[in-house]
Amino acid sequence: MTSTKTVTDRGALAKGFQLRELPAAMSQDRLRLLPLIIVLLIVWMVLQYLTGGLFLSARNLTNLSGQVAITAVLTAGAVLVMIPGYIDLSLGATVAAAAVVAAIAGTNYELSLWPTIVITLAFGLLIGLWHAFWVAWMKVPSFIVTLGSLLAIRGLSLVITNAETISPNPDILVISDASLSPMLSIVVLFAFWLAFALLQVREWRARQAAGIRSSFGAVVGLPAASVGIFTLGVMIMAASYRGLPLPVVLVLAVVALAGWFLRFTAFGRRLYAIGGNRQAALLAGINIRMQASLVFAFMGLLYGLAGLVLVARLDSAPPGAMQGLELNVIAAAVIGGTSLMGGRGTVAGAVIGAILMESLSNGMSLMNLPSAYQSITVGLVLLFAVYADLRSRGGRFGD
Amino acid sequence: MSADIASSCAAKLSAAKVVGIDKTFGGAHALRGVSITFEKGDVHAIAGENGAGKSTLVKILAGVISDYAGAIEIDGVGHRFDSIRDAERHGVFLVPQELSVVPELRVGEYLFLNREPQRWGMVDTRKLWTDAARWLDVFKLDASPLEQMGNLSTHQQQLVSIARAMTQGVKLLILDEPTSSLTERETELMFARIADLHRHGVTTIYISHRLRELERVANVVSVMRDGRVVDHFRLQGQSDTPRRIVQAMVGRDIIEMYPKASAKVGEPILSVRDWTVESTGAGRVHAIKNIHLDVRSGEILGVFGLLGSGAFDLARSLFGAHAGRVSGSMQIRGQVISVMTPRDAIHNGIAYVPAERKRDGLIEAHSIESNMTLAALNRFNRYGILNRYAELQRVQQYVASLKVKCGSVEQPMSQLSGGNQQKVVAAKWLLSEAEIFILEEPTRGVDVNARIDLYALVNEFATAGKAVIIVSTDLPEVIGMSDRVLVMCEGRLVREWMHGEASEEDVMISAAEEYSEGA
Repeated sequence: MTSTKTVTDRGALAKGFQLRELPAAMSQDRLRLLPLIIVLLIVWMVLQYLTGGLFLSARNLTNLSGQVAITAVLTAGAVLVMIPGYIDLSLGATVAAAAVVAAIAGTNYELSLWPTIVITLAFGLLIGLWHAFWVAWMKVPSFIVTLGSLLAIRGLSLVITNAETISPNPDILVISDASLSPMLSIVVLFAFWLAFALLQVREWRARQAAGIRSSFGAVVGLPAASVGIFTLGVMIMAASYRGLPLPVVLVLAVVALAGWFLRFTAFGRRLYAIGGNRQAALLAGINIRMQASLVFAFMGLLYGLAGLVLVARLDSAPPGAMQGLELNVIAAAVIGGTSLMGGRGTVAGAVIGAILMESLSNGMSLMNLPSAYQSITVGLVLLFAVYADLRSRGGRFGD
Repeated sequence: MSADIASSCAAKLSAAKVVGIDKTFGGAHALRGVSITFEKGDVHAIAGENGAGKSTLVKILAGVISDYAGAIEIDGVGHRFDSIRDAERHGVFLVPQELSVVPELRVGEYLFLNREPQRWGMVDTRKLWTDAARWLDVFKLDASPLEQMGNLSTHQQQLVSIARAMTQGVKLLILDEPTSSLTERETELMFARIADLHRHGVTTIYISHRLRELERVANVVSVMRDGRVVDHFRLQGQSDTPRRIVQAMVGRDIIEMYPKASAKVGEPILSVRDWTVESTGAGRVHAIKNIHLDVRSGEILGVFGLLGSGAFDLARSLFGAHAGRVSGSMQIRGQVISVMTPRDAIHNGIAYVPAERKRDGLIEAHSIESNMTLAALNRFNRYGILNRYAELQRVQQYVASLKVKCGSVEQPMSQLSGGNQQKVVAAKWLLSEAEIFILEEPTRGVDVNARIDLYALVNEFATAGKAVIIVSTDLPEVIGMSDRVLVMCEGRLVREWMHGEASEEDVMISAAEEYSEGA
């Protein structure tokens, strides 16, 4: 009664919001996955056609999954680094160095599989902690710290190996050769999807309980369907060939872990806050130093993991391998909706970005196109993906 | 009503005229057929709540928004500005609320940005500096043309922006909330400059939330509500101007702006002794020197100080957020504690609502929901996972009880008005179950209705036995809301009044007197 005028005014605003709810809802990070998955499927269809059915053969998909594994594992970590507004430029060098460490541990020191794995992961963790020290404690911008590592650690690998390629202990090949049985693969994938769907249901029920109007379709239906389509594809691939390769299992594990941290824990919420407004995060009592340290330490473990996959895949550890990997990983994360400024991004989106990029380069290799063309395509895809992303967000800021 | 406004103005010379301006954003109707005539040489105030359409109107006038219905006339010629540059070419200049100056640029360079005096294809630096110095002198600005913009105070930056408009032959100068981040003293200086402009025949549009200011500085007032002009009158020494404006703005009579509830004042909760804070800026060594302070449960303590008095340094240092070195002892309920970081402060039940809401208080791109629970995430942590049931329930509860106007708690903060944003910031600290609330400029940029809600909330804190410290440059607010008013000057507490004893004049004088002595 007192301020009817204001109430009608706000009422109009609220109605405006309802009308625009769909695009607004679509631009929420969770639902941005769908357009991305559709683009990925279209790209797959086109490549399937252009390669005369070679691309989607079970054999090639298994090969592709091996390629994707390294990028995807690192992209999941890169999202954790980029959401609070940091960046990691050291990937190519640190992953190659981890591969060198794994090879040396196995050949020169004749360590068996498990000690080699532990030492490689520890090496990665050490580099991660080195980054954490300089970024979080010494306050050097992460761009500089990791650029320094890119140069220094690449040099270190070359010094240690005398610039020669070392062969690993054959034991380690199990990492790329092993796979879950088709039956077990299907069970694992189904459990993966079910867990995701149940968490979405839980979110929906929490909203209902709090009296927030939101449609079942937007919160549970669409996300569960998009992840479902994706899981089903992987299932078919796994069942029709040799089951789920171990690198893919590792990707799933890392994605689940990183995604879990980001969405369901206070730790993840705080990462978004730091990237969204560092000053406000600090004044809300967030321990930025601790958060940054954990993120870089986790990234360090992923250097080790990716290094192990790399050395197993190549059956050798060339100290100059993986040049430019960091830029591919950052591009994949950005295509998947991660902001370079921080505060925005999802692991799922970034991993799909990684799959998209690797699919393009794999498909073009199958077509015998020189890598120069792959480079051109990926560059343009990056540009258009970010443009489309900006445009779809732009609509929301009418004033 | 609009018809008789038009006829009464027809006789005088109009500097600018807007006719039937209509503008919608998505579904929201921001302006509904607004027609106003700005007469030559007037200081024309536009009053209205947040969201009434004032800012949209001036943005259209200044070429920031180019997509609208209706017409604009400048000196009787119809125009449609499609950019800020276009508007400036025709003599319309907007000095926005949030100034965006290039901090690395020198004052002289900024004054003549894009119009540098040239000689043989190069910038004629000698002419640049001498011209700049002359203009600074005209504006009684105590700054060198060689000073970097970033080193000037907000007040000086505003004056340089106005001077920049003057050097380009301004016809219509638009000041959007020019005093919102100024101290009382600077506000006085700003008024003097506006009076000068008035004498030079420049037409000024003045937008402010502070009604008393309008009364002092303007000749004409237009009041807007819901995208319409609802009242329009010349000021001719009427005594009830603020009341008339407020009534038109909110469509109701506000009997009591500051509804002070008397809570039972109990034992001291927060006590600081020998509180000293080193200054981080150039000049003085200490921002605060040897302050003793007690805040009791149920008490609202108002701290007033001019810029550089240390009032804001006090607020920040109590929350562990001051960059300078802090010494002294702090006790909460008799227990000695150490507050080195905001985290420590929050653990000890201290809450802090910063003056710079957008910079320090909220994450604009993130949702209402995630902003609100940010300082209290540990409370929703169950087995390492966030309990969304509890979280969303609490968020909805506060959105309802604080009357936050929003479409959904998923909406980003950037879509809320200043008042609603401030309510979300306040809710963040309610969720963290703080005992001591330090509020800096709690109602800056907040409209009248939301202000009253916020004051009621502050009173609720007090009634619930919490301790509240309000640090504000809004003098009526400090006096109206506080059980005890403290004045700070030069890093010290200089005077103290109990509720009802302080008058605006007394407080101002004690804050300013020492200031001039020290200077």
